[in-house]
Amino acid sequence: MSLTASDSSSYRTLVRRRSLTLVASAAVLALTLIVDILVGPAFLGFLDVLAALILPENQVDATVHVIVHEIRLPMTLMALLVGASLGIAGALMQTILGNPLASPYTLGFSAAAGFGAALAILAGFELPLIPSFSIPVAAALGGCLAACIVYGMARLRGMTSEVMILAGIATLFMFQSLQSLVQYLSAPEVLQEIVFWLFGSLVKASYVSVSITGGILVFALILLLPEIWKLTALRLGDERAQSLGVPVERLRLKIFVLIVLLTAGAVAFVGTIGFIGLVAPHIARMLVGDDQRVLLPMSAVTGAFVMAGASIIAKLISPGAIVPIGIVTAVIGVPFLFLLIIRGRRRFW
Amino acid sequence: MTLHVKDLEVSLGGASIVKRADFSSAAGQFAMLIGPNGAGKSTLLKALSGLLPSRGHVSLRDRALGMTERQEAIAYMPQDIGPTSSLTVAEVVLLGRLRSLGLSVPGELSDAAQAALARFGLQELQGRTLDAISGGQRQLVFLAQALFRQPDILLLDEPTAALDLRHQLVVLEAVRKHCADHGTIAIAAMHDLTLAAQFADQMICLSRGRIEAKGLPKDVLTPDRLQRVYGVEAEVSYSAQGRPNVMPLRAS
Repeated sequence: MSLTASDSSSYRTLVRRRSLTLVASAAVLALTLIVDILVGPAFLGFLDVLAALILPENQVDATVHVIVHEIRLPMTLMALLVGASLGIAGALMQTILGNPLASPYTLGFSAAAGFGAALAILAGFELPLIPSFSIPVAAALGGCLAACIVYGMARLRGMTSEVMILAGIATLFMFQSLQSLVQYLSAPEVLQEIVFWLFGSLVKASYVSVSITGGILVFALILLLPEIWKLTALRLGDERAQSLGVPVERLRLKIFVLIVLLTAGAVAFVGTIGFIGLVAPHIARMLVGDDQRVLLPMSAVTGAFVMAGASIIAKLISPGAIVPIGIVTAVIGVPFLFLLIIRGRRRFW
Repeated sequence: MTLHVKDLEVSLGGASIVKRADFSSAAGQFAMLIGPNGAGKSTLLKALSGLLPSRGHVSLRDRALGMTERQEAIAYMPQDIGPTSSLTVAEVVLLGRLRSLGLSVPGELSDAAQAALARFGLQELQGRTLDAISGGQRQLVFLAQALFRQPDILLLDEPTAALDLRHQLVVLEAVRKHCADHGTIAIAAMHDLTLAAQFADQMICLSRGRIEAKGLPKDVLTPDRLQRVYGVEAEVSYSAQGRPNVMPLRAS
């Protein structure tokens, strides 16, 4: 049997098409991020915001400069980074556990982070030198605690996806119950603060939190690069991956740690954002398939897109105010996912 | 290059599944592993490939093969066709040379993967996803992947199970040719005894975890042994090439 030129190029054409889809999606994301900066409760004009972004500080109205650079830009950057981190964490979780329902949220990491934050708020916990980091640190510790529980169970019974999923779901219910207990024990004003944190919000974003979340994302990406094809092999099942030379248990552990880092880095500063880690990888998979070289960046782009879109809607729902973003993420993500399921020819898992 | 297996034992959950397996296979040989369900064929193949822990000695070119070396030297094709996935056929074959893959796939590697697919007439499917092709086609794709790895040893667990008559022959001929061309040692677990006998250089018969017989197909496939191992009364005739044809008559 001989190969024709069109045969040998069809896979390359597919790879090119996927790359173009990724670039086009990144362009749509860039536009969405610009719109997110333009929209806000201060009702600034389009040209004013644009001028504040482009021109030097002394040529722009001081108030506009502060609103754009100190409030809107950090919030938009945080939306980008949190969405990307959760999108990648969700894609990784679904890949290493071979389960379409896996995400940092469904496995209890976010609920545990919420419990950590709620407990810190109730106890009035303050770090000695960096009090503003008290709640993010408590949330990150909560997420890590959940990860340790899931990992501990997996160590006892084997690092299989079934054990990890079961342990994760049990952990989710446990920390949701503990969250409810903390809320039940809280005074009304404390309860309000806890509930606001649990809704998830970008309003406390700062360049410091942006740098930390961004730094974790870059660090995770560097560690992920050498594992990209091994992760793709994992989509064929543990046994086949192992027979291809993938150290399945070691890989699962390494990726698990990276998922914890990405999730902790994302939810510590903005609160519980539940929907993105689950749905962004599915949207990405329907657009570009299972090759992790494209799936992971695409999950980052779709996660960031849903987050930025939710941020825009959160600012538009109630003029003059910002609705917590965690309430809105599903509102923009679900219709988009349904559209792809209905119109797409590709299976989503 | 010869594969030597000596005193290989596998226990799972406290039960001994493979007991003191001893056999050798020379470069270019195609060996068929036969035996009834539960005889330990799949377990033996998995242990050889390093997927299951085992005791005993496995050596190639007179060098002991540890677990890591086994995964490098051996390509193993499981009998199940794996979970559904939206990986494309081309990607699945490329994964056969995992260590050579980087962020971009070199052109020559991509061409070689397509040549491996062309061997089974699958080049048209290269852009299709695994969940969009039939079980039989999937089995051929995984075989193309295994050959693309260019391993020293090829272990195939029921490689013809989901295939039609023509493709059964295509697969076994492709494996035999690959062994002859590259000196690869192939061992396939098979249930179709006549088909296995047609392609086997050597036959290894397993019964309750022990090697009951090994040697040429005509020496292994005797009515007495089929009665003893399978509990089946069978008639064995021979082709012009001296290959046995097994006609099962009744279960005893």
